[in-house]
Amino acid sequence: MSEPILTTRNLTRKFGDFVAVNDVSFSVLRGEIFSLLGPNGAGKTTTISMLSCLIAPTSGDAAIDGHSINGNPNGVKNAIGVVPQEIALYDTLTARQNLNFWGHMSGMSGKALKTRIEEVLEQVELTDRADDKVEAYSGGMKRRINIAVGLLHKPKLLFMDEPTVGIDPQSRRRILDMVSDLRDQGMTVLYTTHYMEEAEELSDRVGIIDHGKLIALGTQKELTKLVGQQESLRLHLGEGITGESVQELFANVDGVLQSNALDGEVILSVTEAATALPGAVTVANANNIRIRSVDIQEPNLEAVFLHLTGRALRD
Amino acid sequence: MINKILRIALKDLRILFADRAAVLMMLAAPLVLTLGMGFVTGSFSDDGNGNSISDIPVTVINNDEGDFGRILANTFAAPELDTLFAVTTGTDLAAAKQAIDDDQAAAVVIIPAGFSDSIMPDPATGAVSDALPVEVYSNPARPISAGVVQSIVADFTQQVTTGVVSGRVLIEQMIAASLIAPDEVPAVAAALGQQLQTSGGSLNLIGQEAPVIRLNSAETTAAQPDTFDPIAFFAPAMALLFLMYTVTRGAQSILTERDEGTMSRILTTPTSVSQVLGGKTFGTFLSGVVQVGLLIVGTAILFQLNWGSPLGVTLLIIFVAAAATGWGMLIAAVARTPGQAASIGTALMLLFAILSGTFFGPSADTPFINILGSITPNKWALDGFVELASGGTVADIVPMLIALTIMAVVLFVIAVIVFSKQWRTSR
Ligand SMILES: Nc1ncnc2c1ncn2[C@@H]1O[C@H](COP(=O)(O)OP(=O)(O)OP(=O)(O)O)[C@@H](O)[C@H]1O
Ligand SMILES: [Mg+2]
Repeated sequence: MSEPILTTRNLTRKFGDFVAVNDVSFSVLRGEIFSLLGPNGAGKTTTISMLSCLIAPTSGDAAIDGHSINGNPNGVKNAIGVVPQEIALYDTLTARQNLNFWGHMSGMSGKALKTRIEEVLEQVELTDRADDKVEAYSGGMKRRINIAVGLLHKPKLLFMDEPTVGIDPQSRRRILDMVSDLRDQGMTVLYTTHYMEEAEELSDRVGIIDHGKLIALGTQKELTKLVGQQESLRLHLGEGITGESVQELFANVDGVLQSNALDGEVILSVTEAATALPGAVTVANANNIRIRSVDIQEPNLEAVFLHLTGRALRD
Repeated sequence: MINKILRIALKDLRILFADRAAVLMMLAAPLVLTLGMGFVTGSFSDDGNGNSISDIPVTVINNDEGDFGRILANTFAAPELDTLFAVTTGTDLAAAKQAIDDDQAAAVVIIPAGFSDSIMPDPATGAVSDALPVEVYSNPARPISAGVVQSIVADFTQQVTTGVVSGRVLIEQMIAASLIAPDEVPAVAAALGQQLQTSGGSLNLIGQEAPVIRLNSAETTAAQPDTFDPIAFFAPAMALLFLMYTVTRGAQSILTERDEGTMSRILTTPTSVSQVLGGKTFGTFLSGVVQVGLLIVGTAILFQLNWGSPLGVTLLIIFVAAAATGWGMLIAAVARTPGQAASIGTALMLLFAILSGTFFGPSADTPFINILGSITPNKWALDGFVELASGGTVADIVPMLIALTIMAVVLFVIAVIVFSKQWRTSR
């Protein structure tokens, strides 16, 4: 788990004058799940496109499995599997016909391909629907076949570009479990997402990307250290209780660094939950605000992003 | 390398032929239009599978006073043939020929004066002279209907002749064997003649054929040989019209794959741009070959159409599919969206059809169209198919094959240049 399978060096891509990916350098180690976490337009897909040799970097380079993306695209392509953000399948073919075609494109054939198709169909739990046309699938099922195509040839490195975007929570759960299984099987994955929870749940290490720049990189622990010893207190109030006045009230409580009022709840950044909570309860009682429940949250990646950019991860 | 091109091509073929709308356009539409053109030109006159022709307008001019003329004339009005023919009895040859020119009649049957007498043995000597010919004027625009009339007349005279010749042989043999005296001949001959007439002209005795029928083609109508079936023009014309549809679909699918990300996804596998474009091109070509091939087999069965030299037909299919694919690739190279490709393709499809005379029929001869038509694959292939259907050999279609090759090569080169420019700017 120590040696990198992917190393990027000052990877940069411009579209005209616009810098979509700006001087990005990081490594992905064999056997780890590495997440690129960033909001819409951060440059995640552009990075993946360069790493899968679809677009050339304006400057910089990357080595995958020892092959340069600039110098030896074919070596790179042999090592990677790609699950694109936009589902890329032939709608009027069945899942099995799709897998058969994509398998051949990846250089597989014959019995080995046949066996492998059945394996990945099991893996994404679509064996019983394998002979239905993809156009008849639900969004979640399409996402799963989209993933299956990327897994077919057992790539050394799998790129998954926002594989859960736009699907229901249940399908999303299924896909996250699949990715966990992949890690258990020893697959190396470069995973992009704008969901903090996904990055937290899945990844060994996270790179936070914003406006094309890699602004932080490390394990979740390392990253949360960046925001100091902060914790969050989430006070659930009655519905309809919101507004600046509420926010102000709690901002003045001892030990509270920052107060944010949302609909029916207030999130307080605190140095220590245990010391700040009594003060908050006192203030609530004095103002006839009923606290229904309290969550104490360890520092998370959302907080890290907020801390680094001053913006929320989701717009 | 080749394997991937083939895989991409077969994938496209599968997608295209699984699309019901596409199959309707590629196969059903040309067949229906061929059928329609068949009606318009009078090649068929029925519900269209070509097997149940009915109400063929035929004019019978019976100048004969005797029984055989009457029998032949009545044959067309016989209850068994009632629905097959719509018979008009006429006396005026000029009027009947005019009816043919006006496409009111499929054929005119003229039974000459003295037809029966020429068949009957001379009552005095028993000798039989050659029968007078029954003339059939056929309408070249309705070759199938006219053919039916001709075959009825031929059948009738064949039977009569067989009977007469048999009778003659019989009488001669009887004389030779001294079974009858020469002075008994008239009575025997009359008896035989009677038998001939009642049996409708057949005596079941072996006989030879005598040329009693001469077929004429009315010279005033279009200068096509009587044997040329307009369907042999319209069937390839419609196939070629819709070949342009198929290559347009190929062009569209290139742009669709680019837009929907499947092309990019292929390029993340160890597959090169030229393999992808090669596969798409070959898929389009294959689709065209399969389409035209199926149409040719289909029309050969449905319309009993003889396409001519199988080798020549195969070569033409391959070469015209290549040239049309060239146009398809050019469309893909210049169009920005699948919708644009469809619009350009449809426009070219109609333009090419008009320039190649597809809708005008085999006899159209407009110099303007002949010159402009040369840029269309349709014209060259159409000329080739017509040549083959009229009995031409592979050697006769070499010029067409050369023209189609040049067209294919030029278009591919242009398409590749445009494509590679686009690729460079997009990367
Ligand atoms: N071909 C292109 N031409 C011009 N600009 C582009 C192109 N591709 C991407 N961009 C721009 O580059 C920036 C990064 O885009 P990218 O798709 O990499 O973001 P992302 O992180 O994948 O976002 P999302 O979460 O929405 O998928 C965006 O501002 C985008 O508009
Ligand atoms: Mg993206």
